[in-house]
Amino acid sequence: MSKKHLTVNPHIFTFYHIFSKVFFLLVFPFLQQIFLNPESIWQRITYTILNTLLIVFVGIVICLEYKQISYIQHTDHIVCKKGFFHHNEIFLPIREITVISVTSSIILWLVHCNRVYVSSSTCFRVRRAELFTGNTAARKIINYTTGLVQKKPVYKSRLLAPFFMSLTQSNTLTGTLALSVILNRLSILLGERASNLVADSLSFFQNLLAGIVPPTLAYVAGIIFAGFLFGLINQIISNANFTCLYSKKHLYVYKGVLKKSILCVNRALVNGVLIKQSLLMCIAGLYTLSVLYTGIKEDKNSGVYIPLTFGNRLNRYVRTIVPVEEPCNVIRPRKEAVKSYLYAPLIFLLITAVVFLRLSESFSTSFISRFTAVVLIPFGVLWLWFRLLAHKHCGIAYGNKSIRVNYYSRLNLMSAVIYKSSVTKAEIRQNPWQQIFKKCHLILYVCDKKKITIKVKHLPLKNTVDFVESFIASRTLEP
Amino acid sequence: MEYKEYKMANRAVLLYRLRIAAVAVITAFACGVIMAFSFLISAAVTAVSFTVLIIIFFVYPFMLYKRYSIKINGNSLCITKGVVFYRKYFAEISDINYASTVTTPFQKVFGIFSLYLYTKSGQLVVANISKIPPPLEVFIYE
Repeated sequence: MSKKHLTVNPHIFTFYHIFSKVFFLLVFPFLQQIFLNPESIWQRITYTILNTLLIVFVGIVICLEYKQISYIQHTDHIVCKKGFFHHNEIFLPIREITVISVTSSIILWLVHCNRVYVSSSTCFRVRRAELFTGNTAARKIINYTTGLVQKKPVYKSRLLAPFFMSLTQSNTLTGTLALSVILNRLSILLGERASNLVADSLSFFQNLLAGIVPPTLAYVAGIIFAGFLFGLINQIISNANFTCLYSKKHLYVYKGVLKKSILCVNRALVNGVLIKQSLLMCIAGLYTLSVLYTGIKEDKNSGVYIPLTFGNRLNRYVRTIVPVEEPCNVIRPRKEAVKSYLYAPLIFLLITAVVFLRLSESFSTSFISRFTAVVLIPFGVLWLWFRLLAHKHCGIAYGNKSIRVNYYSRLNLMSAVIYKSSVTKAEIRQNPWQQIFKKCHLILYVCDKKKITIKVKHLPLKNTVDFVESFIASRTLEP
Repeated sequence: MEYKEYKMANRAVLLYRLRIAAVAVITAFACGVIMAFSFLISAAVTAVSFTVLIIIFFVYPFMLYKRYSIKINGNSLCITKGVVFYRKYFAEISDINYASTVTTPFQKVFGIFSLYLYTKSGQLVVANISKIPPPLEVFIYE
């Protein structure tokens, strides 16, 4: 029988969390009280008593649910209990814990509370423990699970790093800025045109459109711009004070100012590292590194462990997680496959040119030509350059223990260095066009909380089939 | 590598034809709805869709059957499928955590079922088989 080590009580915020789940039950009495039109005073009293009873029942349910939550840590396992009606007890051996994630949003920070996830994956379905608790208890959970060991620093961000990190991390984020500017300009242009239409008084429908579309576009542009600003601020407060440490068995990531989070990953159960370069990062020569681990979807902790770094330090950081080896088998797209990489941006540039010529007849030419010259054509050229980079970048190589896959996804260059044992499924896919030209896409499935798929495009079919077969055979020979 | 090959059940062709017939019935209703607005468009849609459906009815299930194969050697599994989009899945048998079988009402009529194999990073589907391939029998407890 193992000794009881630590007992953690749920934080008072848990009441609110349970209440948010049963909140819908209160909608009915609330609406009934508002719209009630009783015929007599007795009817009003009866309904009021019934509604009060329902509210009391909901209150009792919340208290009972709260009472049932417990987290007990023994020397070799964790017992986490929850649920009154649907009782759930989780027994999690400490040696199988993959990740401990502690997150706190601004609201949780105000009430000195943290959301703790302890998860492990022994099968397709993930076993996990989840609770709300105070700062001291959250740190105790980490310390008791990992032990009080000496931690060595891997990375500590400087003052300006969170800002550049947020600005370059996502194409979606920077894309919203461009979209808001485009929509705003479009609303002004349509407004000018609409004023002429109203003056002509063509029809009621056209007048209605002219009155609705331009201001709506302007509002949407404003909302998108506000979204960009909020996204940027959110990223900055989530990534400030980024610090990464490691011990013999674990990797620790501390980050955030108001939205603090701690990630503690078991190095023995990590699947690999994902290196990402967005379009802006490609220009600046920067990289982001994330840990691939089997966790739970609900956990908002991103798994980023080196937010911004230059290429010369990359191998040092990757080596902390996965062995970097000399490849014994390599496959790359052929030189002729470069055409397949360039089709999309070339078609985009062609369509831009055609639309420019067509629209310049009906709108003021100066704006269209300026917009095309400043935004669309440079974007098309950047996209073309990115695809050329992607063609040079793509490829797969494996060594004795790990496999390195270079690929691209949307406007991001990605590299995954994974343990061979973490790749449990491979797929070769051919569309009708590729069936004619004997090319294919290779997709590798990795165990990860986001169930990521690694897709290398436009590889030669025969070489890919041989490569996958030899890879599977080499995995079988693995000790 | 020496593989032992398994095919999908012959009756699966009938199942696919039944599904195509169901699509044909729905298309007929859709054409009827379009006819309420325009006879010409409806006639054109009917002519095109039913020609396509008849070709698919006779060609597609047969090609699907021909392309589909499950190759198993001692350690690994390779599933090949697809007519328009050709796909090949590779997995190691030791990576399979557990398995389940699913029988839909139509499959029940033809005495076939699908075998789902779960690995850490997703699932593999061995569709429309009448008998579990012997190397995969270890995952099913009768």
